[in-house]
Amino acid sequence: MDFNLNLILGQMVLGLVNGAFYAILSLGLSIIFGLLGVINFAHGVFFMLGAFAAYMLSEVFGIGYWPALILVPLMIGALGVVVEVTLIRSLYKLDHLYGLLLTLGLAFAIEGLIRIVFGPQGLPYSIPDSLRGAINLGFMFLPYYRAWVVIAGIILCLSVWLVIERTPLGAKLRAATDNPQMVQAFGINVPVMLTLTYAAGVALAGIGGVMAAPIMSVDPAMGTNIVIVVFAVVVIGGMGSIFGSILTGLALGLLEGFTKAVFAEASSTVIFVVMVIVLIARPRGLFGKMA
Amino acid sequence: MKRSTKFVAAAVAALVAASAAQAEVTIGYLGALTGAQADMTGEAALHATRMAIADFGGEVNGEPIEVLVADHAGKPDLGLATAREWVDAEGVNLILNVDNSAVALAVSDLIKDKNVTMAMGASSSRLINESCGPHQIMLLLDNGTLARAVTLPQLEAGAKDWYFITVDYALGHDLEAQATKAIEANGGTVKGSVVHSPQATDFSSFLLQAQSSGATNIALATFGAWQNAIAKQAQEFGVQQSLSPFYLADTDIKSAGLDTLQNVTGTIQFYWDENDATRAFSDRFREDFGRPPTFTNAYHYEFTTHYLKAIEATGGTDADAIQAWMRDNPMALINGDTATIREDGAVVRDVLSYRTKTLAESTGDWDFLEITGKVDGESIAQPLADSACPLVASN
Amino acid sequence: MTLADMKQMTPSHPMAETALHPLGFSRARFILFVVTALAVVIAPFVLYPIFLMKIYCFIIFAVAYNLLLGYTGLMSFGHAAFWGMGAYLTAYSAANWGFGFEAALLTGTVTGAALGLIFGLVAIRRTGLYFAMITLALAQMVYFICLQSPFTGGEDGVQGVPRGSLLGLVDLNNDWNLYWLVGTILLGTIILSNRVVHSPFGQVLRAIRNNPARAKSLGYNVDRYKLCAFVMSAALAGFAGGLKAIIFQIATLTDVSTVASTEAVLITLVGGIGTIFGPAVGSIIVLSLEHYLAPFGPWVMFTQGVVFVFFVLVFRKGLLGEFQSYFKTSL
Repeated sequence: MDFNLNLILGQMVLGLVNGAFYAILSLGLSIIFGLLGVINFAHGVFFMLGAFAAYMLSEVFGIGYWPALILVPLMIGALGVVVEVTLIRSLYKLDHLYGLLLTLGLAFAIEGLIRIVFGPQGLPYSIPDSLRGAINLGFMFLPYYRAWVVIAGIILCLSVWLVIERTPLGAKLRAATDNPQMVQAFGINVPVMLTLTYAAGVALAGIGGVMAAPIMSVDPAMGTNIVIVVFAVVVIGGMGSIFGSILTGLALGLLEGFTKAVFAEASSTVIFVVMVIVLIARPRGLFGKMA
Repeated sequence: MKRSTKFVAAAVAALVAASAAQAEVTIGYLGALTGAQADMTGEAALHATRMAIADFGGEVNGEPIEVLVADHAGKPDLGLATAREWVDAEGVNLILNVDNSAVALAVSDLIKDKNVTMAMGASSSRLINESCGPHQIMLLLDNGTLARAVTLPQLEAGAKDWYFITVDYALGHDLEAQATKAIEANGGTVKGSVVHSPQATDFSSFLLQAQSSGATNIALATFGAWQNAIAKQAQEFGVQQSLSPFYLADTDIKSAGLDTLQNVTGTIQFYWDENDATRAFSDRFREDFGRPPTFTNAYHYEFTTHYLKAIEATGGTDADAIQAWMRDNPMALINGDTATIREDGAVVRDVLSYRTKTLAESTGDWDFLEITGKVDGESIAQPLADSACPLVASN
Repeated sequence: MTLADMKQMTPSHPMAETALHPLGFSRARFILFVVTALAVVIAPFVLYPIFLMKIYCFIIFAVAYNLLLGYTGLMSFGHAAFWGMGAYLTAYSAANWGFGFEAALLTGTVTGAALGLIFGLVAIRRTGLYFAMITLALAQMVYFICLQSPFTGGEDGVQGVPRGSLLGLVDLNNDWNLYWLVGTILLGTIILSNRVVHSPFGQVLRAIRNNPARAKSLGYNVDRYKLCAFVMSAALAGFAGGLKAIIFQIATLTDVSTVASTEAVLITLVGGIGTIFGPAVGSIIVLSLEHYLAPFGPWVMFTQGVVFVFFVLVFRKGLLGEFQSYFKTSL
């Protein structure tokens, strides 16, 4: 094994692409967890649905990538509203674990349904024409589309973070996370807020799905595959920490890329190894508050 | 071994239905109805099997032919459990499809001394060597044969330097090892290889490694959705090397999009647009199923027909007699050729070399391949003299 | 973290009603036990014995899981690791080291316990969702290790596991001999689980589940009790996995994958969290569903999902849980 610096750099750039997906997904999970106290096991399924929705828009209506980037999160968000109102809402008074069980079941049912309708095989979705081609970074050939995913992913995550940290809406959200009764007393409609938060969280996963469609195989298992890693990211970052999940997502993407260049066999395990180390050294996660 | 007592016990336990089932011919279709290869084979090969039964008249020697269906989902435990139940309680005569090496190995053990035939779409070379069986037939090319079929024509054409992207399954490792052997024996070199996990969706980093390796060909010792993703990403990263897939079915090209798989060369057992005979068959198949048959669909039709002929000729369901008949008589193929079944269970048949068409060359929905030649089956098959199968006479 | 609405599901002084009946069962449970025993005797003459044995293994697995979730209040998402590694080590030791039936099964059980201790030391201080996530991630790591270690045989699994014989006397290659053995083990496990639940140890566990702070203030070392319950559950899960490997003569990646963990959760949920006979009812339903829907491919996954959602929303206490709150008894 030769330690080719160009290769390492290249792999780390690509790792950042994965990191962007980890960040988008773990951000959505963290927001939902922070406010609803639900570990959304269906998160990966919404990611997958985002990709399938983009595919359907293009196949059936001829709607391309850019409009899909707006339309799909709206569709997935709407689905999120339906799911929250009809299913999840009734569980808030109960133990949080029931929320986990419900969303796990939901994930099974939706993935099963997609398999029944679309079959198990991957579906094609093209890179938008405006982002075809690649840029030569000297140490690697970086496709424009991947560069776009990294930049757009980071901007998306940071804007969500800014909204939560710096706007009145975000302040209400944070307050509701800490003390829902108090916020309710101030005349804020907490149930609506919870619904919209869930919708926003899964809409983020939907955007992730659209962004992933051109570069990953659009298949029913795509969500399940990535979400297991994202759960580890959330545990490492500290559950419910918004900024922590963004940073951890990107950093672990980088680490994974680095491992691929240096010791490829370990690349699928490295995140879980980090997780165990973090859990032993700092059980609440890198950015988590004390439970 | 107390197999006999087990049989008696099973017979006591099984209801009257089971003994009634003994009288007819029962085919157990044990396939992947979900998972990476379900689209290529799954329901489609089942349809081909039913077509063969219907074309045969729906019965053999006056007995109805029953088909049982189950999904092994790529899990040897599940496949073995189903096969065991079929053998113990349903009196199955033929276990068909078994398109997974792990499942096939497990079932192989099970049926060794039973009156059951297994015709499998698994490719582990072990299944025609150490783990061959008296009633077992490998419908797919084994990994060694497939590796030679894919690499030899390209080595001859001057592609000497190879890089492997291998799925972290026994199948992937076996395929890589066999292909490496073939490449090195014929003056080529393997520049490197990388293993991808079954969870992988992003292959760009592997392609980056392949790119920097200086290889002329990237061999894809993987299949299905992973392979599609690799092809897609290779195009995106402007990978100049040729991709050499081992398992590329029409359904894969359809799924990945022909634009990502243009000018790929390889070999295949059957292509729907080869000649008038294959087109006629494919039209009939397509009428009911909506798409042309893949190579796995075709061999299900071919083998089922051959098997029913054997039952007719031997006048019963004795697995030994059926196996002997099937070996002694050539198996008719859809394209007009014939194939032979050897004592190690391998099916020796000529295979087609192809080049995938460019978008400009393709005329329609399923017009993907240009057939560039035929590889003589004998020339790529593992010589019987090298076989580790105890059933081979010379051993 | 306590599962709030489960507090009422088991009476607070079960010892009072159990003392009167044989095998340590309450009256209602004793009736159910007799029914179960009769079913074990009659079933193989009607249904395929190997399918029944599979159900029994999953019942034992679910009993192990329920011991933790139902009576200690800890929801693990990593039980596949114990069940799967138990299966692997049992299979491997029988196939490659020439271990007999008992020694191989013991190896699997000890593997489950050892792994449970490791998981427990990392995870036991966390509760609720944190505990679930950590056990999930740890199990995922075990899965990746199994995928890459040569001893598991990759996708092939460990095949051709010899069944051996019981104490060198009874040939277990005979399905009927094996069936009676597994049936007996199942009934023994149910008796054992009832005993554990009603032992002083089980009472402390339930006190911890219902109110950890109070248990602590009474002087119990809460973490140690939880760890002990976790290791016990892991050992029993490893035992069940090993038994399954012997019956089917194979151990594979399926057993260590998340699927096995979710199956344990689903079975327990359907049967009734924190009931002695819930795992049996749950296993029968969940495995039959899988078995009879198997020809329809992805419908299995869809149906399992719908069952999950349905039970969480409507029958949260599981079938036996609803039954016992209706009849005001413990099952």
